[in-house]
Amino acid sequence: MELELKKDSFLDDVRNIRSVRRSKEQPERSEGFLYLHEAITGSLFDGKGFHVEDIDFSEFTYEDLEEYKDFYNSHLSERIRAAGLLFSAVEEAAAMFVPKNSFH
Amino acid sequence: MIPLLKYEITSLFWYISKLKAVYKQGGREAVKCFRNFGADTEEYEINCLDKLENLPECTEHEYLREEFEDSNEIGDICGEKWIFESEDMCEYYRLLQDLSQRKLITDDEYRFFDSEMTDYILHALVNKQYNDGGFHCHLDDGTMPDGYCHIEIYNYHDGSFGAFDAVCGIVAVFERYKERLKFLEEEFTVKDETEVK
Repeated sequence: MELELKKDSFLDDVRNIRSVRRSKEQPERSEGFLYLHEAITGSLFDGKGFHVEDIDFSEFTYEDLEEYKDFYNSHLSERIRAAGLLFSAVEEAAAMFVPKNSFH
Repeated sequence: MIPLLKYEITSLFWYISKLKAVYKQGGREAVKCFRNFGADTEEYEINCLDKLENLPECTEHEYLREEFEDSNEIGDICGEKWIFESEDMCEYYRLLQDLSQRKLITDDEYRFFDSEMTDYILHALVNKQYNDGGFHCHLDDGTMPDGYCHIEIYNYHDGSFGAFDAVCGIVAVFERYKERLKFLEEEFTVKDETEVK
C-alpha cells in the first residue's frame, strides 16, 4: 500500500482536525456543531476517551448532528485515516527495531 | 495511539444519531441505558444482546430450538425470545378497563388510549427493525381470560435483528407506559374523586 504525504501540509492538517472554530474563512458554525466537535472528535483527539454519558443530547439538534457528520466525512475523515495509517506504520516499525538487531 | 485514530467514528455518529432521535421522542431513560458505551462501536450489537436480558423489565429469556414433527429430536438453536413486563404497564391496562367499565371514559377514549400505546410500540420498537422475519413482537394487554400483561420479542436467526434498536425501543416503550399511566391517574382518577365529593 502506498501513501503519499506532504509533511508540512499533513502536520497542519492534523493540527486543524483539533481546531474547528468560527473564522472569516469558514462558514458560520452553530453552537451545537461546535459542541459535537469538542465532545466527540476533540475528546478523542486529546486522548480523553469517549462514553455516551459524556454527551448532553440537549446541546445539539438533529440538524447540527447531520451537518457535523457531513463536515467530518468531507473534511476530517480522510486526514484522520491517513494519520492513523501513518501512526500504525511508525508503531510497527518501532516494534521491529530492538537494539540487539542493530548493525554497525 | 490517539484514540481518535483507532476507532471508526463514522459508525459512532450513526449510533449517536439514533440516540438523538430516541432522546427527541422523550426516551431519556433509553439514552441513559447506553451511558457506558464507548467509541468502539463494533461491540455495540453484542453488548446490547446482553443488555436486553438484563433490563429490569425482562422476566424471561430463552433460546428457541428447531422443532421436528413426529420426533423427539432436539433441534439446533434457531432464535431467542425475551419477555418484558412492568407494574406500570399492567396498571395502565387495568386502569383503562376500570375507567371504561365505570363510564369515566367514553368508548372512543378507551380505544384512543389503547391504540396509542400499540401505535407507540410499533413506532418505537417494531418499525425500527428490518422486515425480513428476523424480528417479531407480541403484545398481551392482559385483558383476555388466559392472558397476562407482557411484551414478547423474538430474534429468529435466519433474519435480521437490531439489538441496539431493540434495547432503545423496549426502554422507551416502558418509559411511555409510566408517563401515560401517570396521565390517566391525574386526568381521570382525581376527577372521579372530585365528582364523588
